[in-house]
Amino acid sequence: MDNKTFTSRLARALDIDPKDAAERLEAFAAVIAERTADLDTIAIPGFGNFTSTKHEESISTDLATGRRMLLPPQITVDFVPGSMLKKKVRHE
Amino acid sequence: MNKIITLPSLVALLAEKAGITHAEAEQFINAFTTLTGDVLASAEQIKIKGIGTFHLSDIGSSPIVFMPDTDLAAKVNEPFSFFEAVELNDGVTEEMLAPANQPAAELPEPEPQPEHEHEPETEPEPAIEIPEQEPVPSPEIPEPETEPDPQPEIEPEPQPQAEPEIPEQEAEPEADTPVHEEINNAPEETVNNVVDNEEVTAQEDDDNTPYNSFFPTYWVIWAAVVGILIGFAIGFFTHDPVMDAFFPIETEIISDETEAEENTVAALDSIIEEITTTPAQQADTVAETKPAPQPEVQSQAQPEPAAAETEVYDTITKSCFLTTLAYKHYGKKDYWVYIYMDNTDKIRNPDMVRPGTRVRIPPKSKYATAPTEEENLRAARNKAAEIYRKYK
Repeated sequence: MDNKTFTSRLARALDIDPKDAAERLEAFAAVIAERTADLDTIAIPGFGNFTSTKHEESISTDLATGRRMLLPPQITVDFVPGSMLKKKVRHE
Repeated sequence: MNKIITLPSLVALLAEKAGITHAEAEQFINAFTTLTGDVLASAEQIKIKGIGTFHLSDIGSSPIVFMPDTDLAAKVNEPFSFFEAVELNDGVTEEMLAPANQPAAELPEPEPQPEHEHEPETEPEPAIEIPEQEPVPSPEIPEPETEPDPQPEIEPEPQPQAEPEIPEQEAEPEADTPVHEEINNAPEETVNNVVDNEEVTAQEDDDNTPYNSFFPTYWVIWAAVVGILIGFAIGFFTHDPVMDAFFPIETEIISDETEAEENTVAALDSIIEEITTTPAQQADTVAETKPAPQPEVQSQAQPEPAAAETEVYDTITKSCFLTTLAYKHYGKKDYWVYIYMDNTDKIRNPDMVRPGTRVRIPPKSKYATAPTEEENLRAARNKAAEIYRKYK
């Protein structure tokens, strides 16, 4: 499902204009980005957690060439599904 | 930072961000989660702009895989966005990463949030697992910032790349004390990488301070010496009496200034005087100084004793010239010619009289025969011009 379809279905579920649904979805994404950038965790009951992880610098080796690269530190965002969502996905 | 944003906080943030009410925000979040779960349960992946892609996987432990959107990943990684992967040299080993990785494992768990109590649904497990997954910034990162000394063995790299600096961290505590010894004494430590540049520059500054303080004094002394030399030179050329004591001048050779001036003024009258001077007068003047014949001797016999009685002598010195003696005995410097004429056997050039020459001072009446003083002066000046004509 692409973003447009998801937005239209979300608008139909909320009984709002798709444009408004898109704006709220965009605001929701901005909140997630802001909080995870600050290394906060967003816990949504019944759904899961949006977490951010700070990875320290590391060395990766190319086995083929033997070149070693020093990877810089970075912050990545991840989603950990909740148990209810897992059950929902497994059973259906 | 490192906080857990629960649903009420999320609702408030969304409401503020979207400009909607809390109820609408909560309704949106619920609809979002329900729709996402339904789509994923229908074995269909979801791609949401600004968030990412949710798709299914065959892994039992994590059936849902999330791929963050590029915008979301970039915004989250913004503090480290300017870092790039760098190829390591052969001298850098993975052991250097050991101290870097250890703090990650020892990271303390985040503080528990009181908002856990507000969760309506009973899903404590995800909330509990979160603190374990949360990383804490490694304390090692600030350490390179506090370290003032760069490491020459390692190539210059950005600060977060702390692996090259790790072996030097171990050597620094040991090298701190040797660094001071190196500066004060002969270098004994083989580890020359850690050099306290600040101390060296401070020592150099200390070395320079004596020079800086001595430098103006050095120039003051030189200026004083030069000033003294200039003062001596000025005194030498300005004919100072003090300088005369140190640098005496041969005064007998130098003619009197007044004599020169007067000789030039009276030069025109010398010819007239010569013409007017009679041989008789010349004989009389000469006869008075020399022993005359007997008839004159008798006449002079009386004046001779009188002359012998009034005969005066004086001595030419370095500061006493003919003009000086004339002024002394006659009251006028112009009458030096009388002394000259009376001592022609001793004096040739009136400007070159040897100091110590004893001259006879004739009476004024012997040569001043004119009735008036002005005439006598004129005659004396004319005579002086005549005398100088011979020697100049």
